[in-house]
Amino acid sequence: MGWMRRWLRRIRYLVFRSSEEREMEEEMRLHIELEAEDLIRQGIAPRVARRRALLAFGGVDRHREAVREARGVLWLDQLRQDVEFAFRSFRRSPGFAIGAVLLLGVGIGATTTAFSVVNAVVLKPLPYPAPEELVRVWPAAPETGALRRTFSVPDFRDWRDGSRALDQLALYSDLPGAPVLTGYGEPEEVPSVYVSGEFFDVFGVEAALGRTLAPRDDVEGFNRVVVVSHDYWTRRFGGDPAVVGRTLTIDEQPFELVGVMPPEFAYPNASADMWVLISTIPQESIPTERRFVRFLFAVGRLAPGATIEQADEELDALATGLAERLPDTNRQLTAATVDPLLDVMVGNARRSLWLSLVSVGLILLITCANVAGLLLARVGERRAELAVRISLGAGRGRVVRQLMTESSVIGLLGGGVGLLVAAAGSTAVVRLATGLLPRATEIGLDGTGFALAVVLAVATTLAVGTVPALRGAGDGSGARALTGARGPLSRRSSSVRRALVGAEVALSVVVLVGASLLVRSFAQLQSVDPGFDTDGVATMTMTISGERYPDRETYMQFYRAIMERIERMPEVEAVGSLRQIPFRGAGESVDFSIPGVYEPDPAEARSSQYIHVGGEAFAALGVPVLRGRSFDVRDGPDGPPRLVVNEAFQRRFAPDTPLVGRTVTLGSGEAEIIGVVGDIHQRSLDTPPDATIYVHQEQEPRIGMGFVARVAPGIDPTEAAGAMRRIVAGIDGDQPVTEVASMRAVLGDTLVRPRMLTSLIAGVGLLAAVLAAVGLYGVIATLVRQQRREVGLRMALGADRPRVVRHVVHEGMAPAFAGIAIGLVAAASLVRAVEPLLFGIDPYDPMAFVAAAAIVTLFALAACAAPAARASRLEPARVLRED
Amino acid sequence: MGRKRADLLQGTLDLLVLRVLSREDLHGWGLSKRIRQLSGDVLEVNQGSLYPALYRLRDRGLIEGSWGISPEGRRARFYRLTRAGQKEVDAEQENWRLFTAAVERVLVAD
Repeated sequence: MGWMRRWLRRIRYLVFRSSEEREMEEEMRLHIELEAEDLIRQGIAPRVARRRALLAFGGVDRHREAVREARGVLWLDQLRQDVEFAFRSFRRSPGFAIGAVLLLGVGIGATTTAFSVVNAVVLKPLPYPAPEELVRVWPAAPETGALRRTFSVPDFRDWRDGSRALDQLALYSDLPGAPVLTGYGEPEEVPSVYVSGEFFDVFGVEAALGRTLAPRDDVEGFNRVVVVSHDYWTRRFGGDPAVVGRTLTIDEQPFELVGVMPPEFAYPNASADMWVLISTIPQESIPTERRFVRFLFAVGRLAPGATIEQADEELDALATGLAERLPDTNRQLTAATVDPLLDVMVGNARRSLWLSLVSVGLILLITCANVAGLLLARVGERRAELAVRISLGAGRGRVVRQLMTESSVIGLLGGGVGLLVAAAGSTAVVRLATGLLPRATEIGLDGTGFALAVVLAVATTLAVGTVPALRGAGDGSGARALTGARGPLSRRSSSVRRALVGAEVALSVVVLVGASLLVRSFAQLQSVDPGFDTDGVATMTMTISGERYPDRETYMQFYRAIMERIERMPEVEAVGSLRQIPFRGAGESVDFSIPGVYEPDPAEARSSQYIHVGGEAFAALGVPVLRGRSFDVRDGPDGPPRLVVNEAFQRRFAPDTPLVGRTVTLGSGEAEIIGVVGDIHQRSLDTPPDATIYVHQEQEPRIGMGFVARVAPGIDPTEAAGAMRRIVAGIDGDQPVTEVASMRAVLGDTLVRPRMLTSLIAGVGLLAAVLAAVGLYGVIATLVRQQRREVGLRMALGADRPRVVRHVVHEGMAPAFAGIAIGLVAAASLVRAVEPLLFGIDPYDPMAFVAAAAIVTLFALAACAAPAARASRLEPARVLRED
Repeated sequence: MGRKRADLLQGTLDLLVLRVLSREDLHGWGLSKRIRQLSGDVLEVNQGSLYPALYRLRDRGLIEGSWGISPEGRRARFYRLTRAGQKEVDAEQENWRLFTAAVERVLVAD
């Protein structure tokens, strides 16, 4: 209470300073006058009385200071003076102040942004109660090396009911075919997650409105209930609370909307808009009650006190029991894998994010070194001024305080700019990273990160701005600086500055080596031949509605109608279909044998990818038929079953035997191989092509499909894809299309994530090089200024201009080369950490190291160029006369 | 050591000011005059030193000032003891008595 009043007084004093001062003066003047009048009444002559009154009072100024001191406002007062003085001196050299503030701002802003992202994604616990108890659970088939397989509903029930270490376990899946909402304007596919009734209980999250799904809903007859995301509720229903309880038509069935989730609930990802019970999937479309139908994921909560190891052990035993009891379906699934949920969610992003944070942290260090260099240079140049102030009676403490104030003001202004940069940065990251980065929606400006960056920056400016100044103020060199018009070169401070610049260069080399590795790796990735043409191909993905086309005959009619009309388009040269277009998912997998060629022991059997194709899929994609032939009209629904395999299949299972004409035994029967086609990267550019069996859509239909159409030269495939969508709408206006895009755009999507990381780190690397160059420029420019006389003298003694240039460049490049050497060594010891992020190149890739060194050398030379030119233009006669 | 003595002196002046103000409201010069009178001119403090003490006491909320017209017909700031100030006087007066008694005993014993 008391301290508060004192502070209020002090602040009041500062604010109403002039009136308070006036009152104090008035009081003191009155005192002296009254004292004098009193003395006059006692008979003393007026002039004497006045002098005695003044004497008795004892010095108005002294007491005024004492009053200020007594009130504890003296230092506040001086602080104000110091701050004002700092701003005045910044106005005198705005280049220095603006430069330092901007440098710090960029460093602090970038570091804060990076820290905010890492904190939100990797460090912060998940936004659910007791998040450390949440786990992902997977069946494992250790014999085949597959430790994370998917669940079927019956397997899940056995695990859920048999486990004690798990408090709760729930199933979920985001199927590729999203259910269709009709009756609310245009029919629309709603990205949905199919879940079991326990799903929301596992997370322990309440609905924002209405209620969540619960185990009691998961009963035939009561299970047509859905929950929607907050985002979808706002977007589609205008945030109307009255929709809760309303009936929605989903896949032509009535569902009750029972709740809206809070905005921060985004599991399994931010694109989930609706949660539907798995038990509502018709058995005809996916027989979920069959034990071998495995496509589901499980998330669970550990019982209080239980550990992941206990759960793992217990579930291993459960799985082994099931495998023994049900050899037909569970023979391979003899174990379980249990992972912390956070680890699975963050996954690969962790390493990229740490890399970004470390790179950006190095930028902050470079920035601090740079600002340190600037401050050192400034102190060197201000020695004369400091000397004058000390000799005019400013206390040494006062001068130091003045310098500290200046440094703090720079640090704090830098912090302010940094805050703006960080606010813009984290907003941009959220926008760019949504969908690419797990938990992107949780990213926000992070106070801790910001505080850390500002503290580091202010500490740097304080340490560097003050210590050398103190030395300068005390050792008499300042006085010398006064007597000689130009101060003697402070060898010590310039060698400190050179060391700082060397360190900056070394740090920037480290960042640049990392950046070059990523750039090279990205180039490798881009140069991978996908095995098919990405130009001139239009794609369209859809899933034929099972409700509207319930049997094979009707949906195949629909399919054929679409194929025919696309084929008739004048701009289309060839059209085909695939179960999944490349980069949008793999096919199914199938167990098989080739009598006489590949007859493995069942325990060691390797499955093959199994992809349904129709029409002229290979021709449309430009995949070559290497041997035999592709599918054609001979391979209709009534023809003998036939297959095409790819080159990888041939290499892997029959390296020495021609396969065309061979018979393959599959679960469904026997089929003849009619051809071998070239490999394509079905899953992604960085996974090698899988051994694949292609089966004909006419012989084994699927309702989910991607159409691929080769367009004539000069036709824009994106426009052709749009025309394909209109063809579907022309046949059936209620059939939604999932996606239309050019193949080039599909390829682009797969490169977005690596491209983002690569450009980010490359940008940071270039920024590092620029900052180091700025630092170097500062040192060299100061040096040239300080050595004007020396240079002039040399020139007068006959040194020619090239020689002067060489001298300056040598002065600059010596610390730069030292820094590059140190940086390369440091980078070599650190690159192992980036290895998992690289594709197709060695972390010790010499090109990356050479490139980093070359870039830094170029920047350093550029930094030396202007000062060297300035030095060579010096007029010796003028320079020597100056002093 | 030096600081302690300063505190002691300061504390003494504070106590005198508070004690005098507990009887009547006074302006700066009046206060200074009264202290001299009451102490029989023994406590001839440097008159200006009064003001730091006044401002300090005011910042601590022990006294408050308001502008008025002095008996001499001049505009002056009058100081008045607050309730907190009254408590302070009572407590400090007691302390002072204990202190002087202790000093007295030491002096007599010598």
